[in-house]
Amino acid sequence: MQKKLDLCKIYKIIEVNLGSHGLELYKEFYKDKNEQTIIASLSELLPDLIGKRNAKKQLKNLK
Amino acid sequence: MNLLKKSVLVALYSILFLVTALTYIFEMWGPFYGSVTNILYLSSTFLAFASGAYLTSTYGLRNISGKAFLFITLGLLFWFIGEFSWIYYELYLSISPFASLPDIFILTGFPLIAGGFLIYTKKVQIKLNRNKKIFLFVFSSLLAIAIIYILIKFEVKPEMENAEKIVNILRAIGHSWLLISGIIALLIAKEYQGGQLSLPWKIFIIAIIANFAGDIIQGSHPHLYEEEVPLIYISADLLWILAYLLFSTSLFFIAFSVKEAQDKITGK
Repeated sequence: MQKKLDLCKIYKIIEVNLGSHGLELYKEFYKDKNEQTIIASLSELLPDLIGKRNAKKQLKNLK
Repeated sequence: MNLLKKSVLVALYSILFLVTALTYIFEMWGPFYGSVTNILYLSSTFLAFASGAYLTSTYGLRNISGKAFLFITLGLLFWFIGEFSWIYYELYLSISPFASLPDIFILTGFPLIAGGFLIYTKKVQIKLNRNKKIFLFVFSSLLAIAIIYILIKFEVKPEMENAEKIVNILRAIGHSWLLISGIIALLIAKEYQGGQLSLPWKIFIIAIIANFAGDIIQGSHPHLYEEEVPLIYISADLLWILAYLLFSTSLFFIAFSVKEAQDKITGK
């Protein structure tokens, strides 16, 4: 249950920052990967888009 | 690739603005006055709306970012319809467009755009301490009061008809919302500092100020504007065109950056 909730939160962050198409791409490209791999990928991608501070803030609750 | 797209966009818009400015200056004293300038003016307005639509489709409507930009896009659409109908009233119906239906469209755009900015703050999760919240509330309230006061003082004159007075009062309120949106944009730009999305929010602020300056010029001399007195007419129109192109630049910049991030997911 906890795992599913975390994934929902991750998807929400992806969709709000990268759009619905970005979420679809993530779901497709990372379908066999665990949550930690997705979070690690987001930790690399988001700072370039929204700055380190805001990326850290958004990802803080996931780790 | 992203940088190239942005550079090309800035170059194209700079050329468009320059050509528009020169056309205004030449046409003012030329035989074709009113035809080309109106097309160029409407083009910039349409570009602002089109860029908003493109960005909204980039995000999709199932998330808060897409919803926020949908509001901004609808606001820009209302401004486009307002500008289009203003020109239609003036050129084809030969009716003074101030104050009439075009103003209603333009006035409708203000709450939609300001609403979009407000919705977007949910996404950014700006966290302010109590003192900063109080300061911002007081500052925004004072700014709103000052803008409404200044605009009403400049733009609402005793000799005006009641409809004209109402339009200008509502426009003053609309501008106060928009300038508060500028404060929101500043907070967002600060929050995104170091990221690609910081710059577009800074550009929004300049767009809002340019739009406000154009309105002050036109609103303080509405009849001189309608009589197309060059200094008033050209400066107000060019400021509005600049505002529309800057709105469009911001929206396209955000879309390009999000698209680039989407491409990075699959390693394109």
